[in-house]
Amino acid sequence: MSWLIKRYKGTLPFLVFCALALLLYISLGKDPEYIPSPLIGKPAPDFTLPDLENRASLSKQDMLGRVWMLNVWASWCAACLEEHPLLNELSTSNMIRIVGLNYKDSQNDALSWLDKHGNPYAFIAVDKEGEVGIDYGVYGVPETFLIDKDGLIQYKHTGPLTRKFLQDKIIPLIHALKGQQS
Amino acid sequence: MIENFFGGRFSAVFFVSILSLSSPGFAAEPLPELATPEQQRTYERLIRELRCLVCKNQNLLDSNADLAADLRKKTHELVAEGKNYQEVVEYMTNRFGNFVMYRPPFKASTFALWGLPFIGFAIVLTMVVYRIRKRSRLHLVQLGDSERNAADKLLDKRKRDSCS
Repeated sequence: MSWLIKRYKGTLPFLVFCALALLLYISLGKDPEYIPSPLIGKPAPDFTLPDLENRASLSKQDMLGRVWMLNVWASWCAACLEEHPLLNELSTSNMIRIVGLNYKDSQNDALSWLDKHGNPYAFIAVDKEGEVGIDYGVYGVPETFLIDKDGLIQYKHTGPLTRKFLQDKIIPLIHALKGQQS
Repeated sequence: MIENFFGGRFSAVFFVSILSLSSPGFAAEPLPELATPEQQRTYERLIRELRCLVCKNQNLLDSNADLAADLRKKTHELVAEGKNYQEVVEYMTNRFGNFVMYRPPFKASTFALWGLPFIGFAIVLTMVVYRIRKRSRLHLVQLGDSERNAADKLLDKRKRDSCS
């Protein structure tokens, strides 16, 4: 042991430096905004919510048996506008049913926002108080969830979707989930 | 001199009043006192230990963010329903993950976080002990008579030199 220490004593600070540099380098590539969600692989939390016009209601059970997307948005959320054209495109491709969760918004603002920017949603569930948002661990709007045929959350994205992200991650995952037997 | 004195006192008063304005706790909107003092204590402990997720380094108590207000409300509600500290923590971590806790739980994935300071301390301690033991192993050289005389002579000479 002692000969080992004697021989390599001089290199110890250097090794510590290398280890630290490696650690920092790895952390540099990570997104500090990314918080891993504990909900992945778990059943999507239950909800029963009215739509924007208060004419119908939707619950989680209604969506069982199909792969669907839950997109949390609000008219006050600037980043939602950023991803909105992508959602419109995804919606017209009829690849997946997109349910909007209108998070802590006012009815009028939400309706006029959709008039202006287009409505990609098959259903808009209104979460006025943000209660369902808390159940889904929403902390930064927009957030997007992919839920499989069994009602399990398979994916969660926080922040605006990008085209690259949609093409590389979300669309392949949608195809994979659709292929699964429930 | 007098101006200085007043200026000093004025700025001290000013500084203290600014400080008092910035004291924490103003963020929390008044929620009704909980039924029992124990519940109130649990609630107050929770909002200190739960993180406001959107503002990185603030707890629920300090944060003005909308989400923090919602989570304070939720925490209040859960405690009022009779949930204890652990149950509320579970409720939050099931939804938001461990990040919501200022003190993450000790488990395999957080081992490095909790363990490294102790491992580092152990390494430094071994190094210190190793060095001390090595130093104590240096034995003193025994002087022979002639060597001792020579040393005395040298010391005497130096003493004389310094006196003169």
